[in-house]
Amino acid sequence: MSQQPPDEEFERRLRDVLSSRGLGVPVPPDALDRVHAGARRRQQRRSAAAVFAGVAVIAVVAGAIGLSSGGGNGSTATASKRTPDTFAALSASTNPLVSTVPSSEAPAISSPAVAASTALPSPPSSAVPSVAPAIPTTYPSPGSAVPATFSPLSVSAISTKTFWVLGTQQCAQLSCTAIVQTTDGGSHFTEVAAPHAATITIDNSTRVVFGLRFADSDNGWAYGEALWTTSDGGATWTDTSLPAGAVHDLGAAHAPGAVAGTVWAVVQPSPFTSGYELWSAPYAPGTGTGAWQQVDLGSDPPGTSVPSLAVQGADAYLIAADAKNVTHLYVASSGVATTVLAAPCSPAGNDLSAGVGSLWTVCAPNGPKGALDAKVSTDGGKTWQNVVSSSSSYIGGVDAKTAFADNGSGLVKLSTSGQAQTLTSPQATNGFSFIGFTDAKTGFALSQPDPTRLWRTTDGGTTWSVVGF
Amino acid sequence: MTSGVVTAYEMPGVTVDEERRQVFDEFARARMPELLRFGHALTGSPHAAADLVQDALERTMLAWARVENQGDPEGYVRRIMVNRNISIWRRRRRETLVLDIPEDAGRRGAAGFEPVIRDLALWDRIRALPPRQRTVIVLRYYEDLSEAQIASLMGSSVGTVKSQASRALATLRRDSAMFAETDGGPAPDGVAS
Repeated sequence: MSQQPPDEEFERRLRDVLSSRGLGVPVPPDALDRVHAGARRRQQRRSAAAVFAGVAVIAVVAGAIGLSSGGGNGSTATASKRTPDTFAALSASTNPLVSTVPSSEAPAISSPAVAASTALPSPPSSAVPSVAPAIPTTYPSPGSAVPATFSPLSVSAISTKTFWVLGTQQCAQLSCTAIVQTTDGGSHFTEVAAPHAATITIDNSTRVVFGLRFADSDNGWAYGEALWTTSDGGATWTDTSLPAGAVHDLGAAHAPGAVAGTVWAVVQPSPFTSGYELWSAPYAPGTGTGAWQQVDLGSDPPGTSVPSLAVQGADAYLIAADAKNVTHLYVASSGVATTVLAAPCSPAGNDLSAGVGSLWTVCAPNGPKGALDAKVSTDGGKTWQNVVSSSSSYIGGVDAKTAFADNGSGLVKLSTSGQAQTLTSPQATNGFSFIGFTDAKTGFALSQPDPTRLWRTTDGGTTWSVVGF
Repeated sequence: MTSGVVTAYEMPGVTVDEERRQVFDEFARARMPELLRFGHALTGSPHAAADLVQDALERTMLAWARVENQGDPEGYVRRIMVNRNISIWRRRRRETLVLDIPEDAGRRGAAGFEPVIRDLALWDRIRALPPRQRTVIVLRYYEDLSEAQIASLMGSSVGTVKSQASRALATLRRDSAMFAETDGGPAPDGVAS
């Protein structure tokens, strides 16, 4: 094969022919009608399949596990919130193929088409808290070696040394989904199994996964166009039928010292129905994930914007606008009625993060060039303190005094003392999609493509290094 | 933050879903010509382009709530088109080695098509490329993407993109030179004969 570089003349010929007017195709007069009809057919097929699956699953439902979650405010699961689409947001560009989603205007959106194949129009009743094992999937086969082409998308830690990373690896077809685990802080990784799901939209038959969370060494969840559960550290994954819909965000937490906790999921039941739901389930080592139940969010549930979720101890915090576009902070506790508080700002930003003894968020810009204020609460969201204004969209709370935020190309250390210090490293051409801390010292920052890199700190964010796979 | 504030979202008789659908319709109507053109370049066939665009728009419509929030609907449609085009071809390949019966839209000006592809010999060779190679060429020279961007978009490595691009360019140059000699094709500057 010729390795000769193409000459400019030939490249110009190529550009000319590809921009020929002759490539124009007349738009069929009924094109839009056909799109509508086709979309309807797809949705009906999916609904029918989902209902069938639901019926089959209820028939074999096992005993539900009832576990009460511990109190306190320990949060052990640091995980990805917004994972970048593998191919979107490559660079800032006017080209529609590569235009970067302005992160401040893209609340909690991670991956395209997440809702595409998960329509289930009937609203789930709180009387059917059934979760049931489907067929465990193993994809691709787990092995000991992590492929050199592994690229991270989502990270979840249960301790300073043990974390899992969801990512893609090159394989014979397109990219394949893989999950790797380390128990020594990232020195060595082992591949575990992954749900049968893709990280990019490929076709009807494969759903998209973009997030991963683990609560302990057994219990983990992968989410996207569906929810997959593991109770054996990722060796096998079960496709759960409830909650039905796309899972936009998920968090799990338990009290310090406790082993049982609660997992929370932000669910969009149907791509064409406005509104988002919060579901929760108990989990415990050895017994897996219990029955999922929809959480009552009151008379003005999240409607127009994708909620941001943070979990801490037995509580889940959700910032979202309701159907009237009024922004609320929903505070849900296991077994307790949800409290609806005034949001720290309206419109809300696209990130909410739990630090040690603190909740952090960033407000959306008010107006086209409005300032972005970071805010911190140390009383469970009742009152909020303004922190230094910054051009950030994603934020990771460390503790009550410190957080790290994305400024679009690097990290800024925010302090309640009024400082905003831009770090020299890490740098990311397209900013970050996730910043989060496992404890006050250990944290992660995941850069947007291209390239996607997982950065880790073990000294509270002073120095960061790239996690190698 | 008092709830109950009346905002523009409250419009009697109009549900959010209908509004969304209307926004989608406007988007689809406005962008369809350019999407079809892109599809034609990707597939080498106006008919396959129409199928590809319809498929991608159906998927986009179902995911519209998210796509709209994300702020780049056209990029979303194009990404689906790129990946669907490759995967459709992979499925069909077992059935037939030739994707399409050659279509002469550009050459003869079939009904509705303007016969204005000047460098027909080169276009024919582009159409004859294997889809992945053709996709790399189209993304490089039609969309002006970098190799890294193409790799990310297609879910392959930069090395793979480079080798596919160089293989494709070698084929195109060799074959189009041959065509130019035997077929009375266009001069290298691309001006029509």
